[in-house]
Amino acid sequence: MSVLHYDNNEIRLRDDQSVLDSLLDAGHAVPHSCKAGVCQTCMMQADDGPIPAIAQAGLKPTQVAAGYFLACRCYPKHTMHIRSVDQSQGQYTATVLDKRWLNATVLRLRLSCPDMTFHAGQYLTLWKDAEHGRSYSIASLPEDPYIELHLKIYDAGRVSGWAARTLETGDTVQLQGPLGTCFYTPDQPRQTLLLAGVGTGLAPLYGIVRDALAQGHTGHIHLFTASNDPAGLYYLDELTALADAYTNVQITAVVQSLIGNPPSAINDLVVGDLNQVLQKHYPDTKGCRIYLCGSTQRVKNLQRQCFLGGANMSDIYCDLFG
Amino acid sequence: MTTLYEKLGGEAAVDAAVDIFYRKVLLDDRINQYFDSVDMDGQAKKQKAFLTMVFGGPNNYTGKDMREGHKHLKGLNDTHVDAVIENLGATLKELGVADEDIQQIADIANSVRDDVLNR
Repeated sequence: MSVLHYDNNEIRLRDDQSVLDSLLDAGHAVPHSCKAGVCQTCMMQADDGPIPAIAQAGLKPTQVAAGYFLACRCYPKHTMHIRSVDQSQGQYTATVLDKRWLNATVLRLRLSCPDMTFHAGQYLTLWKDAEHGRSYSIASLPEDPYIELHLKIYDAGRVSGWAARTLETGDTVQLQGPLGTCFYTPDQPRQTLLLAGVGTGLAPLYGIVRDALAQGHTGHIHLFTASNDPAGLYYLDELTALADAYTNVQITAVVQSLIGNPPSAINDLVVGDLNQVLQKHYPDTKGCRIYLCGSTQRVKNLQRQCFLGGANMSDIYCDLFG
Repeated sequence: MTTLYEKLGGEAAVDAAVDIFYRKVLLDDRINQYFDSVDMDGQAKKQKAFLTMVFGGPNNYTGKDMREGHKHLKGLNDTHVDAVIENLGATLKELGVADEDIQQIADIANSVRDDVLNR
């Protein structure tokens, strides 16, 4: 007979009872609907314990990697420690290692936080104080000696303004996370990866590209980094270096206009709208894995466009900046 | 005795059909206003649940669920249900499903017509 550990409770499971039914019988209000493994409302997360494969069927590779599973289809043979998905964030104290402006409005923070485990592309909350925090996507890899964030700084921004003006190297900050399923998994190493982001949307995408390369991805990797104008771009040297070092990496910078700005360092600079540029380069997205990062409006339009171009819904990963 | 769902290929068949079906309805001007949603992942899950049901697969939808689920859709009428079943048929044909099975699936879809239209 297996035992379930949930929310400081120990629940005994009968062999013929799913995790969902066991929790419901024990009086826990677990959201659910179809009880047939289709609607995914009963999604939970396992901290440990082997997860029966059928309980992860239909989930994205990133969800599988994060230990997510469907409670209505889970009949474990061993003890499991599980939690609701939205509780799965830790609180950490991190130290500021480095602050550096990447352009006029983007500040790079490098933080030391060795206890947090994460995937490049997930996001965390940076807390200014008990009430005010902002979410930022992780641009670095677990093997880097720091966690890297790219903060778009707004003068009147409560958290970004504080980070720009008050936060100093050596200070400690509170982090909460990680969350998000927009990260690389090595299950299809020859798949074409398309990545498109606006402004600091580059942060998670930069991490995902480096992660893919570190895990031996051989398929074509094409990153589109976009901004209104060249002044909003950043990391162009770093991106060019990646393209130079890896034959399967291609970088395209996209700007709406060149007005008022000198030509930038990158070779492939295109003037136009990101969605149209992506459509022109990849009218057929069948078989591609796609990572999108930016405002909700932008990402949703790109998602729709890429889906209609032939990509599987399950192969399109969205990181929404709101 | 194999069920229709098993004969079609079960969940794998549904997964293959969902993206194709969803693309078709998004491009069909007769009905895409009902399917064009910001939450595409959520919509895809609903498509999956619908296809599972019409493939004769496991589901717990009652007539009441179908009524409640469609009540808020303004102006919904028979032409829209017809268009959905038409796109369903085209999806199945693309996947090489036999005509008699397509008919059986269309019949299941038709069986919930009155619930969907709340009449």
